[in-house]
Order: sequence, then C-alpha cells, then structure tokens
Amino acid sequence: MSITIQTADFTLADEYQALRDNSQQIGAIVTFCGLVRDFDQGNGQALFLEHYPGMTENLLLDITKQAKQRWPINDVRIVHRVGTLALSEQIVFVGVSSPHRGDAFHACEFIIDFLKTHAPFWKKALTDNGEYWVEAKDSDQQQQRRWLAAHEK
Amino acid sequence: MITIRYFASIRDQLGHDQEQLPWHLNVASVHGLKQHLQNQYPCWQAISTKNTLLTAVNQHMANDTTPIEDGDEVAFFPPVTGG
Repeated sequence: MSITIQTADFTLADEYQALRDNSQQIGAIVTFCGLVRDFDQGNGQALFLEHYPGMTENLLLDITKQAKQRWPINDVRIVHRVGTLALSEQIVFVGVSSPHRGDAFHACEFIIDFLKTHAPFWKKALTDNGEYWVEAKDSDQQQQRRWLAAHEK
Repeated sequence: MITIRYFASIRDQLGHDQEQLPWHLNVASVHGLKQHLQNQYPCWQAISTKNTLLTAVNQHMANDTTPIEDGDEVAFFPPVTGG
C-alpha cells in the first residue's frame, strides 16, 4: 500500500508496474487518473491545490482500509499532487490490484469517490479574470452516498 | 495551549493560517471555541454564515459538541474539493 502527497508529477507506467510487482495472485489492475480540465469556459489557467498535511494521509489510509474490508484486493496506490497545476496536468492517481476485475473496478471507484468527499484537499481556480476557491459539488456527495446505500443492502 | 489552524477560503478571509490560545473552560468544546472566535474576530460571523464550516480536532472530523483539551489541535476549513 502506498499513499503519497507530492508537488512533482507522476508516471502512470511506474505506478502500474509497482502494482504488478512480485505477485502471481493479481488478475486485474484498475487505474484512475484525474486531470486539470478547463473549468471556466476557456478562461481557466491553472488550479492551486492545498491540503492538511497529516490528516490527509491518515484519511486516505482509512479509506483504503475500508476498501480492503469490502473487496478482496491485493494492493492500493494513491498519488495526489498539490501546488499549482496547469490545464491538462495530472492531479491524482488511484490504482488497485485484485484477483478479479470486478473487485478492482469497484474498489478504485470507491476510493476516488471517498477521496473527493472526505480527504482535506482544496482547489483554488486561477483564471484570466482572477481567482476563486472551488466549491464542493453535490454530484460528488451523491456519488459517494451510493456506496453507503450499497453497503446497507 | 490549543493550536488553531485555518485552511483555504477560511484562512484567506481571516488573514492568517495558525494561532495559539491558552486552554480554558470557555473553549473546552468546538462550540465554545467558535463563540470565542466570534467575539475575537468581527468577520467570524460572516465567515461562518457564508461558508459551510467544517472542524477537525486532532485531525479527526469533529462537531460542535466535540470536547477540546489542553494541547489539542483544532482546524477550521470549508468542504473539501480534492481529486
């Protein structure tokens, strides 16, 4: 398991390889990358990301443990970048390895959904017309609540 | 002493990211500390009505009834927007 918060970029191939390493029990690897898209109808320049050091890592560890309790997964790797990130740059990586693809897909989506709604990161949008703090989205909350409902069934 | 930390838009509105406060009974809960901050900062009322204000005590999510002890770290921040 690996959880990293860093300003530097990451390489998908390296993360994928680390998930593959030394296991003959892995039948599937699912990876997710989040990128900076133009968030302001052509006026967006970059995002500035900050986090709460310590709390963030612990929360991501907790989310990962929850995923491991729900699905049989071998390994999880999370990389989240902070600092100023230009349009189209990579923000976040979540990778999950598992014996079976269904569990890997579910666990990967679960982790990114909870990361978005629980991990203490904040985005400031830097645009041609100034800067503003991005507001939390209801759609992210709804996405995350699906997992709670699914768990109660 | 308790350490108070502010993040993102809350920090920007207050103008600083951290402060220390001697622990006393009046600030022995999140609710008490918010009252104290409201008395201290004229802008606190606006901050707490304009924003959804989240609180963590010792880096765990907290609510108004969460107790605060001497030496604790309390953080105030808006809803998270990472990923």
